[in-house]
Amino acid sequence: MAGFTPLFAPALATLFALSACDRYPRDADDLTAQAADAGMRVGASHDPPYVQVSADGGVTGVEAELVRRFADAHGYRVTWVPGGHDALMRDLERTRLHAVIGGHHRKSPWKPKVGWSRPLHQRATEDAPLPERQIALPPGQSQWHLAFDRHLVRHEGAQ
Amino acid sequence: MSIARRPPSRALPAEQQHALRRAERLCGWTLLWMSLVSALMYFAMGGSQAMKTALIEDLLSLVPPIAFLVASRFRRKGVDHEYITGRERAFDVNFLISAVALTGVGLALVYDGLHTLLSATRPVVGTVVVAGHVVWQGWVMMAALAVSAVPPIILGHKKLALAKQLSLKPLHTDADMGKADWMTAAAGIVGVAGIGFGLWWADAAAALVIAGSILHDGVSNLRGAVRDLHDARPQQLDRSDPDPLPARLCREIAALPWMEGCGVRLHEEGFHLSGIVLLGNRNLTAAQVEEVRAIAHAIDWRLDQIDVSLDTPA
Repeated sequence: MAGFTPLFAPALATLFALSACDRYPRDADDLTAQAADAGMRVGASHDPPYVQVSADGGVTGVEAELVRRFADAHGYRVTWVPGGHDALMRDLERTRLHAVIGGHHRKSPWKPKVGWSRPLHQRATEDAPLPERQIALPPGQSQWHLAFDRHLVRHEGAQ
Repeated sequence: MSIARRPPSRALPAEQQHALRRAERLCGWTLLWMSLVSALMYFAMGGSQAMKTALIEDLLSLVPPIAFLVASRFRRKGVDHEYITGRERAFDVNFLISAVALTGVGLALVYDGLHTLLSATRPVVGTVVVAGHVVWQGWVMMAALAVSAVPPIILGHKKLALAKQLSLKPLHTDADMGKADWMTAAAGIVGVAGIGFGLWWADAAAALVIAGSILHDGVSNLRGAVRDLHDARPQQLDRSDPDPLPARLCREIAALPWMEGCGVRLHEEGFHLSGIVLLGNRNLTAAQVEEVRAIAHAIDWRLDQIDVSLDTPA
């Protein structure tokens, strides 16, 4: 048990140091900084009524509005990237996108590979029977994820 | 002609019997605490690689105490028509199982750590809502890991003391597993803290550093278990040196006035050392054989079945 103190002491010291740090947690790939500099790149796959992608590439629907409100609150510009669900998720996994809306299934094979927002708890309708909606977020971007979820819970009624 | 059963093993001295009962109770507590810790880890896990491997490790750390409890119960049945040489080796089998479990933990940690590093997987650490506040899940994970480190530290410390008192290697391996547990938890905390700094590889790298030490412990225990099952020369509990008991037995027998040269060949059987004393006396009497056995039993409680035979030159 002699190794206990040498290993644990720095770990605890780190924790105490971190609690005093205002930029913690951070992103692995600086996605927050990228959003501020070059705007948010948000993938959208057609999934009415939550996400509607029109022929000209415009994106509407409640989830698109929600993303827009988040971007406005932080002063980010939004660039929509319409596309097929799997292609968008692959880009998200490689942290080339800031979020993907629409087309997620409860048993999505992407579940463990990417991050997920707090559940939006939108009411299920006959057209959209999913009981719980979530927005996919890039993995490893803790600062970004935390900011997104805080907005959802404070302003969008997420839980 | 009949199948001769070995006489029952020597009863443990009162102090060791008490220690064995305490060891059993400790293993019971280990099962309870490590199950609770595993449940806690499962709910706090998130996408951290170190956290996942810490959970695998916590689950595998249930193996040595379960094996110990089974071995202890099995050993008590003693000699019967099926186990004609007794069940003293139950703890040797237990030692092998525990060593395999520890090695398994080491391998699992190495594999996961390397896989995460080589595939450059970004760990997913989301958020939780605590009393209406959105909190980074990393804090919860670090807290769970810190809590998970406490039972193995306390239990491992106690098991190590009992393992020394009982000279019981599987209990020593169990204590090693406890050490592996809290080291993994400490590495997990460093790893998750690293993720918070944006270092996606910190988690896997921390797990990999610890994996090396656990794998080393596992492999050396595994080698020890295999050599013990091959009746190799007895070793001390920590395997640092040969056990001094055979040499001491040899010295004490050699001091007998009627002795004409002696050699001993002992092996480990759970708590006990058993084996053969080879004497050079051509006209060995039953009384002399008994005298040798009495000396052996007087030296240490661990010396059990001592057969005496003539050393015939090859």
